[in-house]
Amino acid sequence: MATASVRQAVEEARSNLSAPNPAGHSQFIKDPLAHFKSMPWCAELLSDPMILETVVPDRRTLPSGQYNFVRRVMSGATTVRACVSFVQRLQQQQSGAGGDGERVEGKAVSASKPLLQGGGPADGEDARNPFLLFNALLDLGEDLCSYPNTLHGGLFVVLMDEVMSTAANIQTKHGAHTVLFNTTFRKAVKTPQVVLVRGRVVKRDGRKITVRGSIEDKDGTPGESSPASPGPKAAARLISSAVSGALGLGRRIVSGGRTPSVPAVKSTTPSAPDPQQDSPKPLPRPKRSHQDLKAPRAPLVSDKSSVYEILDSDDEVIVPRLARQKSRAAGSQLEVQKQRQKQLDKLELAELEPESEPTSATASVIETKPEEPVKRKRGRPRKIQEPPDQGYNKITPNISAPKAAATWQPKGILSPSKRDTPGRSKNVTFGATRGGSSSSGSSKKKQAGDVTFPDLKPKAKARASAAPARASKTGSPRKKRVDAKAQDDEEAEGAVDSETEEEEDDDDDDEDDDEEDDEVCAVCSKPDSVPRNEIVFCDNCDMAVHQECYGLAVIPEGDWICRNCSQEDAGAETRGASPQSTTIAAARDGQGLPGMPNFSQHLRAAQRVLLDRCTGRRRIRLRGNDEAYGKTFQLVEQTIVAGEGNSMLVIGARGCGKTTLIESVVSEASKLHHDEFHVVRLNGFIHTDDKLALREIWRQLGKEMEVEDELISKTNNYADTLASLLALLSHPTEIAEAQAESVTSKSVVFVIDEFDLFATHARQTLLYNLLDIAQAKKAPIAVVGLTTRVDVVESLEKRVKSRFSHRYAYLSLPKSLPAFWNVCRQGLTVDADDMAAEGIDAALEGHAAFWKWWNEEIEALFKTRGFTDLLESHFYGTKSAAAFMVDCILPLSALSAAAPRLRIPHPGSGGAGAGAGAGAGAGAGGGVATLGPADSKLHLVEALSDLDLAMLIAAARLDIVAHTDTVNFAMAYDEYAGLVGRQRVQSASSGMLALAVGGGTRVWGRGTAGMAWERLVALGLLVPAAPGGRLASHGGIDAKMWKVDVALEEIPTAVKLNAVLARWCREI
Amino acid sequence: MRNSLFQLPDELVLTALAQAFSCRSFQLRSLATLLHPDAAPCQNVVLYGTEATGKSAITAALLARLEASEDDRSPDGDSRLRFAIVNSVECITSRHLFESVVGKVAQALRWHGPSSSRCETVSQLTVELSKMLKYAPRPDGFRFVLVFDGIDRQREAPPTLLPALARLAEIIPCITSVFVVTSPPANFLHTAFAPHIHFPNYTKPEFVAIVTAGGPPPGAPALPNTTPEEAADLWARFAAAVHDALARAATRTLPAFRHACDALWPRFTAPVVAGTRGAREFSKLLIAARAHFQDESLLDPGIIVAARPPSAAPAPPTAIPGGSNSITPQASSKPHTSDLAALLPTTARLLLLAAYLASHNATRHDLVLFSTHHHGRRRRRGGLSVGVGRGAGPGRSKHRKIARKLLGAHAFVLERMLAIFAAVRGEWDGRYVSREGGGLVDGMDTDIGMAMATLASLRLLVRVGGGAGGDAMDRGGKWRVNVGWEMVRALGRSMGVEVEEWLIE
Repeated sequence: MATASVRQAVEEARSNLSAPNPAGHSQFIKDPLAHFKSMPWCAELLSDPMILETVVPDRRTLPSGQYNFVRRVMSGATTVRACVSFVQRLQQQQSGAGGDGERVEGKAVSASKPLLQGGGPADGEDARNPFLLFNALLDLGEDLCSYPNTLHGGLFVVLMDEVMSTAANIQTKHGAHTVLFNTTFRKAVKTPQVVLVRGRVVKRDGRKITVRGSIEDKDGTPGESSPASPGPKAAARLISSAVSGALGLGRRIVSGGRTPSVPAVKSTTPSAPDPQQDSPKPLPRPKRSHQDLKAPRAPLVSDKSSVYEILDSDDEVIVPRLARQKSRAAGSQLEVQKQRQKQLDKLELAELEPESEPTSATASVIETKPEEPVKRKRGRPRKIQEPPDQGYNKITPNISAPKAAATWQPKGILSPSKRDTPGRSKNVTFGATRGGSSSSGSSKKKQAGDVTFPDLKPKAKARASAAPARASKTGSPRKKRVDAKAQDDEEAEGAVDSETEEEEDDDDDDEDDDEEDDEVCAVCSKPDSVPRNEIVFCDNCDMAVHQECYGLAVIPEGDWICRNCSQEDAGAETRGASPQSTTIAAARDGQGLPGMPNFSQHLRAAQRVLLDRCTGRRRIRLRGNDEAYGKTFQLVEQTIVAGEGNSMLVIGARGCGKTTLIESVVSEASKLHHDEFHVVRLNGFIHTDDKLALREIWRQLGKEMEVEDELISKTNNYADTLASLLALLSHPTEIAEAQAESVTSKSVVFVIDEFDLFATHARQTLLYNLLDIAQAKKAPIAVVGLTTRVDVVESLEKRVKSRFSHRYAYLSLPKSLPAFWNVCRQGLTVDADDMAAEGIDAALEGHAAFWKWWNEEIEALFKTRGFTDLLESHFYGTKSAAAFMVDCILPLSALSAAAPRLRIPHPGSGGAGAGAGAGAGAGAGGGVATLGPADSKLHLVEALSDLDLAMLIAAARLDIVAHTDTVNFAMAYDEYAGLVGRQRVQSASSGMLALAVGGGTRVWGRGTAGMAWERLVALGLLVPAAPGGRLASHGGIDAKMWKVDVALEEIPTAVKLNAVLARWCREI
Repeated sequence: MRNSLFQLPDELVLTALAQAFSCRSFQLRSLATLLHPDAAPCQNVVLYGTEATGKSAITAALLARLEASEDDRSPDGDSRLRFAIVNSVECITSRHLFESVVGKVAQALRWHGPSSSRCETVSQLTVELSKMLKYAPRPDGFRFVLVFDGIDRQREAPPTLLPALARLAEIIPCITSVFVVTSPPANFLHTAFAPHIHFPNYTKPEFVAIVTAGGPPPGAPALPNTTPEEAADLWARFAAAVHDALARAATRTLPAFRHACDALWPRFTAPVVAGTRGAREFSKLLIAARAHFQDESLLDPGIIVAARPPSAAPAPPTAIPGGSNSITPQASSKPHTSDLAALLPTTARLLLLAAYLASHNATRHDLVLFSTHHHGRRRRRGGLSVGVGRGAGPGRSKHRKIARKLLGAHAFVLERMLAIFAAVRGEWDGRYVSREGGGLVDGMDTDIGMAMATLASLRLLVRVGGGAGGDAMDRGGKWRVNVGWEMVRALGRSMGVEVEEWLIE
């Protein structure tokens, strides 16, 4: 029974499409069937007993010129020489197993394997209309290439789409539109070659049909040899979008006056009325510009998918000819989804697709994604030059006039609906009367059935929450596909690769109906309002929505308030966030806990060491600055051992390790020469004048030398202190009366941090004395200055400079990324040599295993993309290893025996930009937030209220419009009031009062605005124009002049503004 | 040996705190990690964010809890964590700051050793802190957390102050310095690195969650015929509505938001209390209270409003400001007591207007405005309507001119102002017309002297320049008017004068 009906369907298709007599097909090769049968592998395919029908597609051109792409361009001596298509039946009981497939498919098993899976009642297969395997053999000529001898990438898609949409059309009475098309190129196809293109529906879910397809060569198992050449998928992706843009309108012309948007819309809303029921009614035709379309389109093109719409056949089953291809390349992976609101695309080329009657167009989604075929790589992008071989012998006659079609403007399903709120009318618009009479009056009655996405957010959320669960199940990354139909999306992603949507829409739309009604729904931007789907106005904010767009079953008595105003979502959002994130964490951490003894103990010991390094409490080794180290060490050692007086400067940028160097030198020296020297440390930030510094030297020496306290406290006088210090330091032989002879035998190392600040002290007395002592060999002291300034010597007085030894050690930041990583990795792992020094007990059981595992983890982490990004952002930003390590603190401290894997924050998520993200997202996301500083003051902007922002924008505008760089409150408030006033006039004239939505049309009083102004001042977004208080003393808040510390164009980048404020920033 | 292993702070402490400070869990945990002795104590930590985001409160609460939990672990008093919080706003000079630090550290450590009474510089501060923290014996793994709250607001701070404080931890290793600032400039500590924790402003759900958790104001009467769940639900929705109407629009800080909620709640629930509406009818309540949601006096209460009419005096002064519905309308219906027209005598008013003109008109226009020579009549110019935006033909600059009155008052010579006064008074005030002609100057001089003194003492006119201490009636003295445009316009209208006509841009 089943077979009979299948046969019937196929025959029907054949009768529609193929030539009545085999000779009338006008293909280049006279007898395509014989041609293919002469090839053994094709013959084997064609002789399969499961073939229901073999068809030679017609290539004769039609008088109307339709389908010329396939019929003419894609058929010829150098393009597609021959084509034969055949429909095969799989034994669906085993179709999921693949064993059967092996037999049926011959050697083409592995490339086609994904095609053979799926189906069955679970996937919506109907026993009376089973999912058939549609094949096409094509003999590709040499002119189908762009890159020499290689099939053009776009033609892949053309071929695939022709075949797959045919496969989908067998499934449906009404034909299908491609909604999403995902392709993975595995390998290049060489031309000329014979190829087998096949497609099969793998899932049907309501109106959505998912099709997989592949292109393979005679070997069928291309996986064995896939020499990877560069030029990967990215190129293909790029092209697909470019082409889609270029060819945007072609399809539309063919497709005539159907409105694909409406059914698509319907499908998304659960509460939508039955499409059938609505179909006869005319639909309102929104006016949209192309820009409007771009926005919604963007998300549809996801990573590997190209999305477009085909308006193709409905009632007929198309059996495209098989083309022939000689490539050894096999499966290109395709994921196809045909999306109705995109009208563009490469498939536009193939306008040969059969056409449907305008009255009942059908959309289908085809998506294919074979898993195994060899990856196709291409050296460079190419353009679509030639149409694919294609042929349909029969054309649907009903094609509406191009003119009518041309006016059709596609509508994005997800197009942001204009928040056009109508005038001030209350409650309910009774569509027929109001809509018609209010403005242009030419209105057709809009039918009620169109329902857009009243609220995408919940669905998006649902999807988001579904994602982790899925990810944890399969463990494989999934392509994120943004589907217009949010709900369908979920099911589609679950197990199936593609979907087809079949739609029963079809109302002729009146193209000419472009009236602008001022009462349009805020969701769907349509003005129609008919009983049972009337436009309702919020009594609080005057937002207008359709009942159905908003999910409002009955018009409430009395006042009605929109969800936004009634604050139904107020509490819900906060609750939603957390459980989801915990699932992520749990799911990831559960995997692969390395089983080794004392794991937790090892981990915590490692954390201690690494965190101490990252927080700067343990010194890390200096890498790549051995020369400077050697120089400094030698100098210090000479002073200690030989009693020389020495001076030198260590110069290097902040964070390059000056302190680390000098401290390493000191500790190394103290190891070697235990008690033979003292160290005095001074810091230019702390010891801000020579008197303080001297006293500090005196104190430190006194402490170290255990001089009695009263001696220190006695010398209150600066001169006394200096004198006794000199006495203390000088050689006893030179100053006979030196009181404490025993102490002078020791050397003293002076470490002077921020050396340049000491050069600013009056007369540089301290430096002079110290350098003089060092130079004159009066005492064994070493003066080591640390500074960031290369030109510090220039700031020394002549007499000081002449006493300086002019010895320098330069420290440099890591010069290359590997060198930088070499420094940074000390914050993430401990070298074997350092284990003992860091106090890690190597004798504990499992030590070696743990560190082996840990180092492997770090190496693996290093190879991940996100980590490299982080490292690079630090390297190219500051080259500061310390900053990188700070970023590692939280990930390191988040480790535990239950969750032993590091998760590194993304570079972009740090600082101000992620303010909110760090609070909500990152806080929940397992501590993957950075501790980096804010990039600029702009993080303050996002904390501002609308009024604060408005005042700030007004002040910043004045800088430009009035050419003044200083503003006072009076000027800013005047500008603000003027802007709001103009906004009011505009919105009143355009009939939209965005009172609650925009929030920009309320003028706040001077007092409140003054508070906002003061807040801006307090936050430092306004800085005083005149230093000091002269101007501040009079005139109060009104007159004091300020400078705006933020440029006007920076404001929109820092915070998401509402429409009104954004306009103020934009329109000068 | 327990210190050798890493350990996060006690989860119990953190959970309790995270509940107390909702929506700040990430900041709380990060900070705890960066402060706790067993976790990852840093040398310097920077907390930044706008006001009222919980920086200081969370730091203080967290440190107190951590210290308490450490105390529990070592009952002998050898706690491994101590802290001191110094608020820069309370410290007038940096010496004040340093001495507060020393005092608070000594208090936290219960230090009874010798300490010097003076501490003027960071150098001395370092010495004092070293005495207490570095040289004195401390338990293993001891941390001292020194919190500098609002250190960016420290007065008279030398540029080296912050870098110097950031180096305390280098000199005294057991110190962790926490800097609480609003907006740190890049690398303001001049150190290689310091972890920064951002306290962003709350988002709407967070605002609402926090206020919802707080519940209705304690003084508010319970709603009749309402279950607690309904009341809580109403409160949450109400808070969200207040957020949209006032907090997001004008003042996005938690205290202002909370205040607005508390003040509006009685008005909002008045229909419920009266029994005309149920607590479930949120929409209807919202529409009924729509006027209140646009009440700016909630955000900007002002001082004058507080002067209630005597009839309101019996009301208990402790009542919530917004609690009595009747007060605001009454106050606004009365003539504003700050209205200058009601407060000043006529001469002073005239003088003030003349002073405003003198301050805001350029001297070169005086002849055009006040001369009667050619026309027999003073020529008024429609100030704004002529001046603004009207350029000189095609070559007009594309930049808009700013109205002169917005630019603030300029100084004028008293002589000029008196001349203007003399020129306009006849036109502005009938009394002078009738008396015009003779004997006027003498009498007016006393009057003018009085008026000048009045205006000067009220600081409506201020003396500028070096001679500020000189004779008030010195005709060469320079003055500046100290009232704004709104006030002057109202004042002029009270006397039937459109001041705008007398201004030339």
